[in-house]
Amino acid sequence: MWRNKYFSSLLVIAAFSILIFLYVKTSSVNVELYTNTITALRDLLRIDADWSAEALKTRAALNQDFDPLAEVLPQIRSVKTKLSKSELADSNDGFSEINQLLEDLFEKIKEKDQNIELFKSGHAILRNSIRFLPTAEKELINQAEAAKNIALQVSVKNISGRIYAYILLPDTNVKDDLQTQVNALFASDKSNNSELTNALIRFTNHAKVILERVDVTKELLDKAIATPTVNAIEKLAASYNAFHNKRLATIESFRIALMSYSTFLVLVLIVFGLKLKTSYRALNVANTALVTANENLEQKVEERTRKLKESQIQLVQSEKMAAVGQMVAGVAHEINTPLGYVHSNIEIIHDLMGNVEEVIGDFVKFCELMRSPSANEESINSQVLVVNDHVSNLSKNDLLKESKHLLTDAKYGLEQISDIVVNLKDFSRMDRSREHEFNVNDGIESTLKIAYNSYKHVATIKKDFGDVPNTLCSPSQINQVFLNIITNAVHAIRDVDKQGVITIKTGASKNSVFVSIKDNGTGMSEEVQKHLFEPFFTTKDVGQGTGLGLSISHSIIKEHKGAIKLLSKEGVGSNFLIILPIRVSNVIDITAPQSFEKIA
Amino acid sequence: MDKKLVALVFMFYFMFYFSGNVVASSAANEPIRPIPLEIELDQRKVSLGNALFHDKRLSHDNTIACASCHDLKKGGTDRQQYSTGINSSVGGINSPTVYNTGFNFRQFWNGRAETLEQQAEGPIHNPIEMGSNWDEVINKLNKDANYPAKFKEIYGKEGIQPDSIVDAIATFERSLSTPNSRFDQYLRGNEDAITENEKHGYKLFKSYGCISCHQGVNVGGNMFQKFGVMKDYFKTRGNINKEDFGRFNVTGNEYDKFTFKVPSLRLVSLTPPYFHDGSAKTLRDAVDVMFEYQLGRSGSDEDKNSIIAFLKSLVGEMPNKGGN
Repeated sequence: MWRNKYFSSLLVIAAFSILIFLYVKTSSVNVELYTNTITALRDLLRIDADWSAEALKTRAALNQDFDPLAEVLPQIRSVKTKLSKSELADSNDGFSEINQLLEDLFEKIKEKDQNIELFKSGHAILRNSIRFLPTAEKELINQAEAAKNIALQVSVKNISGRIYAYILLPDTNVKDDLQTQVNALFASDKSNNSELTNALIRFTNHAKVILERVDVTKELLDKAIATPTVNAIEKLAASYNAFHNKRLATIESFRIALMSYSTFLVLVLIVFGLKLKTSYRALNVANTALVTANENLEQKVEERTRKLKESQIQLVQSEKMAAVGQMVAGVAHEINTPLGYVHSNIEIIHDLMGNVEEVIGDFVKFCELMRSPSANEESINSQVLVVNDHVSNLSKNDLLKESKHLLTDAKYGLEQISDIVVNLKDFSRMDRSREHEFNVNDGIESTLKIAYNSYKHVATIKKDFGDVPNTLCSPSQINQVFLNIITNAVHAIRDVDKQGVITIKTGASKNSVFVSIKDNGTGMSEEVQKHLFEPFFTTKDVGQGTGLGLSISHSIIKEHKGAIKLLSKEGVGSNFLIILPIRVSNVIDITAPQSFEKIA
Repeated sequence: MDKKLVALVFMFYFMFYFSGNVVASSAANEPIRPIPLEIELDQRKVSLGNALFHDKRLSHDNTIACASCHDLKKGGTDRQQYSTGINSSVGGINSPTVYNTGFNFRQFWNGRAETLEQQAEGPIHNPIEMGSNWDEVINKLNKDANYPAKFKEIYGKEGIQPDSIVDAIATFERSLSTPNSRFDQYLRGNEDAITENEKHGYKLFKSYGCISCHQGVNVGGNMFQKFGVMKDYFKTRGNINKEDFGRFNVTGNEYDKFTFKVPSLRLVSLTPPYFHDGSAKTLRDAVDVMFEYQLGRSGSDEDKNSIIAFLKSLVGEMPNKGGN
């Protein structure tokens, strides 16, 4: 049963887990996240285009400063930060390609940035040199003129012209040739004219810068602009889109799965519902059966209860019989004693009555002699002597007086026996009804008579009977209780070496009567008191008691709506108090009478 | 190729290159642009950043604050060749000004920090500067009577974190701009804001080619340039050390050797000595070096003085922040 429940719970949890799993799988896409990422990528495309445009504008001198180029950097940084925090940088499975593409993109941006920075530095220098070259040329020609160096003038003019042309149309062959010429020009100075030399150095230095940087700077910018950032962005966006679409497709399939699954679950629920309905019907039938069975059960229970009560009664009865059994010996003795002297008295009377026939015969003879005319004196005198002898014998033995006395004694003995028999009959009666008027004082008296043999050598009985009203009860049962308690008291006293006293008090309150049976026996320990009214609890040796006596006494008093209380002290004695309602409907006054509180 | 066509294209090309001179008076086309008069910032962060900027607990032994090397009363520098960090360690590079750094495209001489936030981390961790670390700094700041509450108020329950500390400091630094200089006023159309000499100096600044690198809002600070374009500066100076490699130390690219961020000239007249090595003691020394090694030109004293006069007109209003 438990395993079954456990399994069912597991099944339900599993079903729900699948449902939740499918639900999560279908709702886990953050569309906003995707949109933000795509927007960031689009922004980056725009910023990248601006960046290139600003660089071109700088080369074309449309920008007077580098701020417009520098201002792009924080924008790129902000987008890069966004992208680094976006899904694209996720380390989850399936993102590795996207991660790689994002890394590529950042690498391309870095590359472009480096090239643009190089372009900026180179451009600044180139611009200065290009701007300064005509001045330097003029200075140098002036110096050459002053030094009357016409050849130098011609070369400088020639080189300058070619350099200007080179600036416009950079050509590698021209560049190499010009560099050779500039170096030759620089080396050609053999004058000691420092002014000319300085002018020459300045001119050649700037000419060299131009020759070195024109194509390089152009190339740097071309390279920067050609950096496939756009391509990288587009590749990343495409890959991300593909991933996103695939994910959407996956979600779609999960959604279908969810739909199917939930439909399945609904069907299962419907099936269960139908089953439940069927089950309900079956349950109804079962319930009806159960109700019937229950009614039967009630009957059975009633029967059992009745039987149980019966057996309880049997138990009470058997305990009583046991108690009575114990009494039988004593009772037999009680009966035997009066029976003995009744028997001997009767025998004596029988013996005394043995020659009464003879006396009567002699008297009849004498009377006949007296009346007979033919009687002689002698015969009359002899007869008179016989009769006289008889009379003197009778008076001498005081037969009549003795006989009367003997008969009175025998009658008393028979009355005693009769009394015991009546009381014994009371005890053995199987009366169930509590409809008998009963006086507890009479009950005690009767019980004491039955128990006489058990206590006569052990304890003296002190009676302190109050004026008690009759109670409506089952006399034999109440007597059984008295007998039980008195017997216990006797047993308790018998176990101690002292003169036993059993004090029996009776009394009445407004609606209850009480009987207090106090002994000065062993008393009971608290442990014993705790179990005292439990069935089969006994302190007596095996065979000495059933262990049911007080338990039954307890249930008898309880059935009478009364109470039985005990006050006991080890070594001092015990005091049982029985309280009975005068009428069963009465609520007994369980506050014990003052006197009950004393044990000794 | 047709010579006439070549000449035409030539002229057209040159028109672009010299256009700067042709339309000199039109502010819109000037290569230098004025500093914005207002910068919108979270004033709570500015105030918190101000406190942090002046807080010596950001250093390991509580002796050095940001302000120790970037004294706001000394043009945002310490006016030393090299700055002194904790335990009297002397660094190998000149402290650049903290003013107007918000306009720089990258931070540090070699541009290794892309943002002010990144920059702020640097000195705190540099063993010869503040020599501390985040755990130590956060621990100290958390013991302060005011910081924890202030940080929570501004940055939420996260409170004092590396990110919030550098954000506050960077925000404060962005507030350190020097707008409305006389030259900016001139750029905005006030012809009388600068003297004739200064105007002449500006003209020379452009014609000599200084403007090629020192341009934009910050008169520099938006590009890298090799130090010693026309002549080998380091060969002359000698004693080449690692710091001299400049951006090469960041990128490892050979062509980045001896390349540095072009510094802003906005407060140049207030922040001697000059260059990454602090080798130029006066502005004139610096101008001389620039003429010789960067421009590859000679210039008269008169011209150089005019240029210096122009540079002085770039100094704007100091933000009202002493902060102690």
